[in-house]
Amino acid sequence: MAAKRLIKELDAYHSDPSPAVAILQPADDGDLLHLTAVLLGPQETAYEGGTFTLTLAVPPNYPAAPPDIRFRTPCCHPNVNFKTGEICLDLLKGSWTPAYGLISTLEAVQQLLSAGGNPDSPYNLDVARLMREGDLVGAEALVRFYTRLYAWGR
Amino acid sequence: MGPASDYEIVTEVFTNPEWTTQRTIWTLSPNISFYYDSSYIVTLSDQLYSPNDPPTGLLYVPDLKAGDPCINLTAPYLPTHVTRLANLPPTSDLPTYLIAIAPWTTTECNTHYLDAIPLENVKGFLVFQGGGVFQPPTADDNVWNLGNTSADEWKSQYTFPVFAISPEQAENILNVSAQYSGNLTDVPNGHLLTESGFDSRDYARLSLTINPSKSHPLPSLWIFVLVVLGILLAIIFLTSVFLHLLQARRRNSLRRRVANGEVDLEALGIKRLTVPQDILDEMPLYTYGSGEPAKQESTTAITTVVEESVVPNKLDSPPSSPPTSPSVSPAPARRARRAKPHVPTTLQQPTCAICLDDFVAAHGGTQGTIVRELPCQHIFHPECVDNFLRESSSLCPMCKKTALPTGYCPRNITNAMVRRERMVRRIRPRAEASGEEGGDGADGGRRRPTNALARLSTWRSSNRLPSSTQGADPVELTERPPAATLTTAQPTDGISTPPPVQPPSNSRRREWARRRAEAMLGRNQAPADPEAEEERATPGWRKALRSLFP
Repeated sequence: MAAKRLIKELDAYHSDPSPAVAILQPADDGDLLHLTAVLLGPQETAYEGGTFTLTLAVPPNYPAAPPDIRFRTPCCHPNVNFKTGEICLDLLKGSWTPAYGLISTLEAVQQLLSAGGNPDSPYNLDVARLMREGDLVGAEALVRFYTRLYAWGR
Repeated sequence: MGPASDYEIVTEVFTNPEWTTQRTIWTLSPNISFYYDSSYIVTLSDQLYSPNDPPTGLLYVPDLKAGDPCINLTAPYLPTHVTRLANLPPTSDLPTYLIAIAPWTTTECNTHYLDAIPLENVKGFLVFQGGGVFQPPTADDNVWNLGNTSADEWKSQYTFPVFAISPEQAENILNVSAQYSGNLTDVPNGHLLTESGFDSRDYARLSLTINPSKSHPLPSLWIFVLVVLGILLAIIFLTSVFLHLLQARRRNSLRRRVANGEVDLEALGIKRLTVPQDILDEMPLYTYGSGEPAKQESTTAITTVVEESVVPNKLDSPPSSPPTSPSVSPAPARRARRAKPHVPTTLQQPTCAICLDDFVAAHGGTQGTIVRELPCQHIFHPECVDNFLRESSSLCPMCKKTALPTGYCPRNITNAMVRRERMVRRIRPRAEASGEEGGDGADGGRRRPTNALARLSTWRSSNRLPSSTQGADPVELTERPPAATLTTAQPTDGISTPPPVQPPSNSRRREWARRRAEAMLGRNQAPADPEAEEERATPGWRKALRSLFP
């Protein structure tokens, strides 16, 4: 069921690519449950111009369970673990429903980037603290720096 | 009744009634007189002994009757000038009481000494025999027996307390007593005493006090500590009982509110619910397009029913499986409701949101897809949605409205659910307030799913018909005839390259999908139940504390 649905989703993506997702493909040909995606940094944010590689591990009972999505490119965001790339997004946990797909989930991740995130449940303490203390210029500069350092020109 | 723990000997000077009627008594300073204390004392008899009124009095050796052979027998123990009754003023003139002291020797002499002690004025009797240099024999030692009578017998016979000290100490004391038995001028430092103003006719004698055991006030401290502990335990217990009762009331209140439909446990993220099979069976099952009810009659696992109704002549279906009889159905009311032909809503989705397969309407010889309609009017393949609702969540995958009937309440309302519900109730007004003023801006993750769902629907609409996301636009959709929906829903892509894992035949694919879904759901239960998550994340001590104070 998971594989069949993934194929449908990939077909839908190829016929109608999402503006947020540059690449979505299986990590290797034999295994449909592990995918690689490249997410574009949202326009007019500090992430603009960045291309972020993500890995998607799809559970065998997908779509009953959410895929495990992680950043491979280091991403400076209060709800993203800078080292492991874990994403704190309720959509990827309790709020998942089978009506979401990989693309819509990735779009939600891009939206998480553009919305700035929630500094009250941080994975990245440094930038969350800057945001919570109101230093939005500092937080944006930090994000811009890391985006330029890791996510540019790839 | 604490036994004696120590005794103390001081030198006292008291006025001689010969020259004054004033009975005054002074205790001399230890540096010019005799002072001694020792803790080596054993209580032999505690007759009339009271720790609150410890025996105290002038030390003297009782006099035996003239000619008593015991006088000679005990003479080696007693110095010649030891203080005797004759060395003291008449007892009627004494300002204080007496303590007798005598050696413990033969039965006969012991009896004589005991008999020689007057019951009035004498507050205690000190004996000495055997034992070590300091430690007298213990109270139950055979030394203290009096002839054939048992120790208890003579003790009850003489109504004064009897104590034992060691002979060595007694010897010292008696030697000093011999020094303090004569005139004031003869006692050690006597001239100093007369010079300091004492009359030479006054008496300077040894006074002995037997102190009760010092450990006596200690038990009261222990009792105090125990009482405090007891009170604390009682408070803890009562608080625990009170909180348990309170929590039980809250559970009942939550149950009532859930039953009244005021609280949706799953939508609030309090508890992940699943839909039981009998409720699933009540949801309408019909053929896509025509709305003709599926020929299923009972509470058998729905997937089997679907197979039978869709492909009645399927070869690999078990031949022994009997046709499900209507009599199995337990609730007649439910039967009646289902017997009514279902009128399919005109709001029709073209695809199943779970497997993304398109529904096929019946036309010509082909069998239409059997679909399951949830209370929110969203339709799915029964084999897709049944497993999901049964195993994962009771919320509709499309609109997140619960598929459970209003007032459905899980059997167990736990304290954790009450806690989460209270937390949600506290947080919600705040979150709503901030959500209104902040709009969609910076409050991140929490509000994401609605957005994502909205975006999902726009993505969907790009190549297919828009599917209602929040159940908000059925009016608009009802305008469209179902036939139009179907034509737009004709697959245009993806089918040309059949995926390798997809079995060719429609019926086989269905069976394959069902088996696969069941196998996968058994292994991986998801999404996670918020309650189970909390249970796992809570440390043990916290759980213990919660069980005590819910």
